[in-house]
Amino acid sequence: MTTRFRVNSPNVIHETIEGEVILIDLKTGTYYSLREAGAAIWEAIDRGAGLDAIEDALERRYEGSSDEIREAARRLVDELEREGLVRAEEADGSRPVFEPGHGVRRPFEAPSLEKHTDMQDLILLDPVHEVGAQGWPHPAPPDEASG
Amino acid sequence: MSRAATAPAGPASTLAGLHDDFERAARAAGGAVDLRLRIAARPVRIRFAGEAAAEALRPAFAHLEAPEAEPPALTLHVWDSERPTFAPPRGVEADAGTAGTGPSYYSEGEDFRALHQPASDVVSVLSAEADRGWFWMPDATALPYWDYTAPFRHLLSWWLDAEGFRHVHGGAVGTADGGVLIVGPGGSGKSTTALASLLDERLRYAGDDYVAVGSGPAPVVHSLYCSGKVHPEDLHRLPHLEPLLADGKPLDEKAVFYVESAIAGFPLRAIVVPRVTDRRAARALPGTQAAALAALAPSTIFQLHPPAREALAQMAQLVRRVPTYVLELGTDVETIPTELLRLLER
Repeated sequence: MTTRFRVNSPNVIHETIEGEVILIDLKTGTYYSLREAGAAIWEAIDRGAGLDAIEDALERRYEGSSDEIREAARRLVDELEREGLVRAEEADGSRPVFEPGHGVRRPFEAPSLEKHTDMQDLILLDPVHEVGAQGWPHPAPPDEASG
Repeated sequence: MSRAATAPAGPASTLAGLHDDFERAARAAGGAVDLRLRIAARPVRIRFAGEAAAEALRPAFAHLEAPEAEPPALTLHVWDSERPTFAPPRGVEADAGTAGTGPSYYSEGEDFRALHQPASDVVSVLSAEADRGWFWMPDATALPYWDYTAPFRHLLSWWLDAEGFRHVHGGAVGTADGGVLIVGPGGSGKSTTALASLLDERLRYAGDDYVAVGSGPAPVVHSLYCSGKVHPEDLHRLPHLEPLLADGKPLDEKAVFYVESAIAGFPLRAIVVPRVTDRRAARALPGTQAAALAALAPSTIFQLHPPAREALAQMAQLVRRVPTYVLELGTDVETIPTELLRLLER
């Protein structure tokens, strides 16, 4: 058994555009962006990678010491987990294989998770409650129906 | 957000009574007043119970009024005073009492979507076939500005969704040949950019907050509302708006305008993310697709209920199809339309 990471679907939605990842947490309204090595780590997680496979994916694209890369990857994955964007799970089977990056490997820079909370006010101040299970709309009691 | 939740028999039978509720209210208010519009190039009929409700809400659609020509793709029934014969949702209001527009209660079944907003006590219901909707409010003349400047926002967004359009949070200006979508959070200069376009008669206004965007390889912007809003303290920067000020509306929160010459829509040529700077003249610079997506998608997704999760992929597709720019706004607002026109000529 190995530990892998999964995107915390369906609460978390994401899109990669021009190499940058935009992540949105539908529960909290917080949205995030990841660039460069951060985007590579996200892509690996989206493919069901564990830390070893993430490190492997980064080393194919970036030049840096294994320790530096492993430490930076662990730090970002911890942060993604703390933010509720990914979750760890135990899994069997083969790990994803990553193709070498195109062209020369670039110098590794530790990734950072950019966090934006400006939508949170909207969610917290004006929350939406789903009431489908209670069968609304339902008929009003006679005294209110006349009001 | 489960769309799969099926409605028990109660809601279906209750919804059937909405038609009677509306007709009764219309009779009491002196008859129904019909407004015929073309929204997203589709015929839409809005039936108001009485003149007062029509007068309060029709100005936002002044630019979309159209002669009756074909059967409507959507008919909305709009009334106030006499409460619909179904009750607001219960048992979930313990955490009410927040600021803002307050909590909302959303419900959907196989044949309807419904939203109750207790702060303004507005109820919106759309049938699943998406060709009929109902909108009830306690008093048409007492709606908050965000409701009367963009009426039936939820009903229209659900309907547009079913018709293959996306209701997006953004302003838009342009010409019949093409225009820009202006995106960004509140305070980013979205309204200023859109309303500054009125300084140049070559540019037409299509909205400052919400528009519809058609999907497909050649995206098109459709105007929804010709209203515009600015903070009263920003009015001195936009003196050309004064003749358009909506009569009788207090300026306490936002100054409200109606631009009757607004355009119904245009092909989308670019996405613009305004940014307030201390420059004098406005300047458009190439922007990244990711920055445009971050400015467009979260607020589009969270402005409406339920949050439209599929909008992220749709918006990403849109951003990939047209060029994106950062528009640095300066102190001289008259340079904004000139810069937008220059950008459209590229």
